[in-house]
This record gives sequence, structure tokens and C-alpha cells, in this order.
Amino acid sequence: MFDPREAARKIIEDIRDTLKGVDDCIVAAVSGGVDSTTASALTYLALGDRVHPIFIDTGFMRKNEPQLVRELLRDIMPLEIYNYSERFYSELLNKDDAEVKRKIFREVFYRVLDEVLARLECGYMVQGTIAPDWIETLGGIKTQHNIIGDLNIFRRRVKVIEPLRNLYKDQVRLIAREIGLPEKIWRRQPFPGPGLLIRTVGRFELDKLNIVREATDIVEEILREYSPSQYFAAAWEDAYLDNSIASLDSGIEYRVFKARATGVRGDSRVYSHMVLVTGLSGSHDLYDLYSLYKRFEDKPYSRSILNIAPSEHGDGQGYFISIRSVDTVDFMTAEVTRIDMGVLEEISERLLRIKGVAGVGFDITPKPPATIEYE
Amino acid sequence: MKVGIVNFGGQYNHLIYRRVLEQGVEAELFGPEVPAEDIDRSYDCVIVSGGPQNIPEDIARMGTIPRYIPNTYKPILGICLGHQLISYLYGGEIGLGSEFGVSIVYVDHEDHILRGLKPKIRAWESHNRSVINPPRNFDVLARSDKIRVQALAHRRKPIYTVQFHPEVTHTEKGDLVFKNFIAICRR
Repeated sequence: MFDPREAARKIIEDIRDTLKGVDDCIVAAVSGGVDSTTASALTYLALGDRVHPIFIDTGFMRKNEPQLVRELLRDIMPLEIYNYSERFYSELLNKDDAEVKRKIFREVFYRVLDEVLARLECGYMVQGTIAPDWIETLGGIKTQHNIIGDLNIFRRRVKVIEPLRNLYKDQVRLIAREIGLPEKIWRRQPFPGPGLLIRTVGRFELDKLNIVREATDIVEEILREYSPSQYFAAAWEDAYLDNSIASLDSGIEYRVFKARATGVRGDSRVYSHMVLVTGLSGSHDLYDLYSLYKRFEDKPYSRSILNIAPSEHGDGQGYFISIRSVDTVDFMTAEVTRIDMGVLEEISERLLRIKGVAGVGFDITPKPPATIEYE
Repeated sequence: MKVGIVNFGGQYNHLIYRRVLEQGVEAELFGPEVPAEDIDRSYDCVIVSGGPQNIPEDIARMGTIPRYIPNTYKPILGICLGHQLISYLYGGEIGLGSEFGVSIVYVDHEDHILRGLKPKIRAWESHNRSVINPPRNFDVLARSDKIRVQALAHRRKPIYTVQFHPEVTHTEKGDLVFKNFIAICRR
């Protein structure tokens, strides 16, 4: 059985051993997510003031997130916020391909981190890498456990400390709780590094990002009581490939969005259009709404979105909001949270009040064939 | 005891690794280029799992494994792509047939590998192709509404395959498949 107290003790001891005789300082970039926060806190517990916990505000955080995270960690470690959102926005504006957006984000992120490391004159940094992040890519399991590697993207040699690299997310949560991080941190739903950027689906524009931020706040507020593993809103243009409505043999009517999203089918990545299920002939309870996505299994679409409101769509003006909520243990597979239609309608009513929102749907695609996030 | 897990690049390989460790035995992932003699020498049994390859056209890109499987006496468990590869090597037919997310898998025969899974489980799938006709000398153990061949057992050798993914947490009783396989490896 996994013993979080013993694991935390061992990690702290390893960090002290590794940095014995080194009088360099360490930058710990905290995103507020479980992994990076726990990795940074462990390093802070091991080395104290030599560690500089920082929070880089990329501009893709949720409402008030940087301040909230700093407040949550007040008794654990001092967090310094660096705001680089303008830099990220100007590099990403009008980029629309999912991979291009992710690559630019990563590049800017590391450039910014490089600047911070240079400014603080530190030669070490902490990363919250966990086991699934590297096991596959390396292809083999080595028995020695190496908590330090070199990162070559920086102007000078920076050594990386990865205290969690042999652990899985559920184990990290146990350690986080063990070392006294607040429940709001260890229970926190994962927030991807590129944050709201990859929920601003397709072309990156500021008004779309602001709508995603507003919508996420509403979805989180209402779905919180269901305690899903991950729940949020995403937005893209309310525009379709074809003006007509198509239908399947089974009487399911649908339209195909111009917007594309990522998915995973049989160990291959897909990046393809999404489907909006607009109507079902016959009574709704003839179908299990949550298995409708299986009707599209043999078609090349990345996901199925169930139309909530309104019933008419598609002049290309305004944005479509997708409500996403899934349950998962390890984020490798995920099931769509069962939510009452009445609650979805309540959310949708609130979302439609945001200026610029033209339609709302509920994503009914598990992982696989979809991914949890959209890009 | 040590279980070898062939890594064809599938996203769930590290979950298989974790599930095997949870059974209290050693495990190791290895690439498909490892020579057959080394595989036999290093491991008590082998799990052949997922990857983005297609059967049969990508067999040339699967290293020593297509030659290793029919020539070893060690227990083998094929999962997803491994299920299709083993079926093909023994004369089964692979064709189109996709399933993603949840499928109900009906277990008609438990054999050793599916012990405890009768009569059916909610299983998770992620495949574009499937076994259309099973190979001779294999028994079909399970089916779903859409895909007829969900699990196979060789009639004489300790070779077992499943189309679904027992290693993901959403598959009901998936851990039993590993428990059963480890018991087979121990014999």
C-alpha cells in the first residue's frame, strides 16, 4: 500500500541529499494545480528560503485565480506573482491551429521562466512532472530514480528538480493532504498549463477568451455540488460546415461545426470537426442521451455535443458554449457526469445572458474517443 | 517473478505497468526491438499491448514481436492491438469495426483469464479495427453487441487476448484480468 507520510519524508530527504553542498537558489513555478503546488511545497519544506515560489500569470487563468492561489498558500509558502499576460496575448492573437497554439504557449512560457530565473539568479527549478508524463515517452522503466535532469532550452544550464516523477496523480493528492496543503488545493480539479487558451477553441481572440472565463465561472458555480473530476466551459464560433441538417438512420438530426477539437481513437490523435446533435425524432427517453455519441463511432468527428439552447443555430454570429463535465480517477479515461437536464437548462439560461453567446450545448463524449480538454 | 510489457507506444502502457505492480510482482516496459532470446530470458510472461499501428500492414514495424509470439512457451496476454496482432499471427481475420468508450462485454466462457467476470462487464474500448474471424485453435470467450470477438484463449498454449482495456479504471473488474494472468504466469 502507498504510504503518503513515508513518501513525503523520503522525497524531502532526497531533495536535501541532492542539493547538499550546493548554495544556489531554486525557482518553483506554481500554477495552483495539485502537481506543481505539491512539488514546490515539498521543495520549500526541504530547503526553506532558498526556494522562490513564483506564479506566472499567463493571462489564461480563471477569474481571480492568481490571488486566490496566493491566499490559499499563505501559510505554506510566500508566492510572488509575475504578470506576463500581454506577452502571451500578443504572441497568440489570431492563431487558430490547436498544436500551433500549444507550441507558442510553451515557447513563451519557457522564455518567461528563463527571464525570471535570470533575474533571481537561480540555477535550479522545480517541475511537477508525474509518472504518466514520461513513462511512455521514455519507453523503458529505469530503476534508479533521478530527481534531477538538465533542461537545454534555457540560455544557461538550468537543473530541474522533479520530486513527483515516480508518482501518479491520486498519490500526489494524498501527499498534498499529508503535508498540510489546504483541501482546496489537493481536491482541486486539474487545470492545464495553457489554461483557458485551449478552451478558447480555434482562433484565439480576446473577446472569446473573456466569454470562456465568464462561462467557466458559471459552470463551476453550478456543477460544483456534483463534484465532477473536471468541469468547465469552452467556446467556439457558432458556425457550421453545411447549412442543412443531416440525419442518421436512427432518426438523430445533427449539424457539423466548422470548429475542430482533439480526440483520441485507438492510440492515435485526431483533430476533427465536432457534431451538434440538434434533434431526436420520437420521444427523448427512447434514447439514452449519454450513449448518443456511439452513433457517430464510425464517422470521422471528434465529439458529439447535445444541443441545450436555443433550438435554432448557425448564423456564424456569436459563440457557442460547450459545457464539459467528466469523472475520472487518473485522467487516462473519463466518463461524462450524469447531470439533470433541468440543471443543464439552468446553466444554459445563465450562459445565454453573457453578451456574444449564441448557443449552448453539453458535451456527451467520454475519453476515448474525445480528450477531456478541447485542444 | 517479472512481467515484461511490450511498448508499441500505446497511451495506456504505463497503466498496465501500474496494474501489474499492484499485483505485487515486478514489471518492466520494453521496446519491440529487444531480441526474442532476451525476452524469454528476462521475463516469466509477457503482455503485448496497444499502439497506433494497424494490423496487418504495420507488422513490419513491430520489431521482433511478430516472430517472438508463435515461438515462445511463456504465457502471453494480448490487449487491444496485442489481441489483433496475436489473432492475425494465428490465422484470424482483421477488419474494420470500431468502438470507443463504454461497451457491454458479455463473458460466455471465463477460461482462466476471465475468471470472475461472468456474465458481463462494462468495459472500455478504443479501437478502429477488430477481429472479424477468430483464429483456429482459439476459443472465443466474450463478445459485445457490435464486436463478436472480445476475448480469446488458445486451446493448448497459455495465450490469452482481450479487445477491451482491463487496465483503465473505468473497466469493471479489470484488475481481475491481471490477477488471473499473474496466476497463469506463476504456474
